[in-house]
Amino acid sequence: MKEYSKPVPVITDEAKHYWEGCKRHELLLQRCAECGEFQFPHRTICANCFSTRVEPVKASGKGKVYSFSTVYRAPSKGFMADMPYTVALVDLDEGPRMTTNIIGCKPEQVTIGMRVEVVFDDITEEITLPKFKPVATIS
Amino acid sequence: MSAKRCCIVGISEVAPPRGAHVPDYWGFAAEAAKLTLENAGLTKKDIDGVVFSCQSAPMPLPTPVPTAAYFCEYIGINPAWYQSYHHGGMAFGAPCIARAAMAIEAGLATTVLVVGTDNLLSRLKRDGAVEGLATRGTDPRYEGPYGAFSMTCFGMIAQRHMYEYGTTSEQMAAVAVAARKWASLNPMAQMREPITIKDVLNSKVIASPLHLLDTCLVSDGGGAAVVTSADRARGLRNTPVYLLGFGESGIGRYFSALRSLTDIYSVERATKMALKMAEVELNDIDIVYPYDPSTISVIFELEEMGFCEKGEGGSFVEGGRIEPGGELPCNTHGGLHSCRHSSVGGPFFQVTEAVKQLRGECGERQVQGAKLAILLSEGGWFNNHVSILGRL
Repeated sequence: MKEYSKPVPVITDEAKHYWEGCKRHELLLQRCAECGEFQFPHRTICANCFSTRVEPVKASGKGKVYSFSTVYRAPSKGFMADMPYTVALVDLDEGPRMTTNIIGCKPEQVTIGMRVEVVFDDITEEITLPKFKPVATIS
Repeated sequence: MSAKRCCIVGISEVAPPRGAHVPDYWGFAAEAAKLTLENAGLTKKDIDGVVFSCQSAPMPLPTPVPTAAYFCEYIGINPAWYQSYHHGGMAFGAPCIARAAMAIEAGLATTVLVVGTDNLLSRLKRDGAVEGLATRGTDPRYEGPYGAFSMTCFGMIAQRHMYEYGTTSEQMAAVAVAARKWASLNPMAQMREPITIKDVLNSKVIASPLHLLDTCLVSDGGGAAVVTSADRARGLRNTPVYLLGFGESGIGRYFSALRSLTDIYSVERATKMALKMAEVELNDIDIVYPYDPSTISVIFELEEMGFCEKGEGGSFVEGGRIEPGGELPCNTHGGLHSCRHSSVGGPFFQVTEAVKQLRGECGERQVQGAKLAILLSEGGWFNNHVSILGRL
């Protein structure tokens, strides 16, 4: 596999489940067994009610674009080959918001409110990054 | 606490012109310190407190970096009190002055040296400096791997502002045109050639919808100040500039933790606290120093501070209102956009420029009769500090 020249995610203890899920091509959020809130990123306690009974749950993988920005001048060498690439904030249907890339369409086609679904990019042998593509619609 | 009792009695700016020799990180800071003491008419012996902006001290030093202590040793002083300070993200300058005032009020020091300098451009070279400045606030777990950086964040804020309020690229460009007009009157500014709205829109898109000329500079520079009590200030040579009030409020750390990109309520909260402490109203303010890493920043900050309604920031900055000669002068030095941005140094210029305006030292760009200035310092995402400086 060609050497990956972009920054790989820093894997932290409390998020081990999340990254293992990504490798299995599953998008995992956490749900609190006490108050029912979903949260992302993963953490040891519920950010809503402080309970420690937070459990990984598989997300639907669907959401919509809250905002986005397409990069034409990358901040670092590793991203130059990808230009133009689109960074977005996606609101998952379960509630949490995450930073991601929108792929599978031209940058000009990305809009606020666009429905998207998760796809998985195996960037290295150990790490997979969830990204999002537009949900195919029948026109 | 009555913040009224503390004043800025000395300032300095280090702003090497292109091609000039730039000292190393510590030498730069030392130069600023020496110059501010000269400006105040004081010596090292008079300093019994230090606040040192500690965002980007170069390694090798132990971490967490005791930069203030290191700096005191470097310039050969041994003050009773010192603090290495950053407020979060890129919030520097005014919050450091406030820390000095709080120490003086608490009786921990009487005369405090405040330093905020960085030789970012020379030390890291252009690509390194851009990468360092741009990626600093990005979460390395969930954001950096996607190529997110400061301008994608401001780009996303701009997209939402356009989506929710109909703000246009032309309106954002008006902020850049204004900054450049002020900079053209400022010998210390890095970029002084006037630009038009068309120039901004024709410049290359960095991260949509932001063009190159919607974004700020990367520079060397910064400054230092001396803060003391009003009583002490009376015996010194400069017109004292009072820290009349300040406020601080934060939302969160990483960008995706923000629930709304159009409700930057920490700016509003910090502004209200500062106005209350200073016992002034917004319409008493003569000059505004928004924090301007991008043109959209000025638009949403003026809204959140309360100078106009939310959503009206775009039309508010059109028509010359914030330009030289306009109703509400903003960033009279040219801001981070056209004057300089050197991480901690950039926001320090808000302080030094505000002091110069209030002392009446700004020549061609002097805002006549200026008595009150409001400064907004902003760290990602969003840690805000607002200070109100004034003269009698």
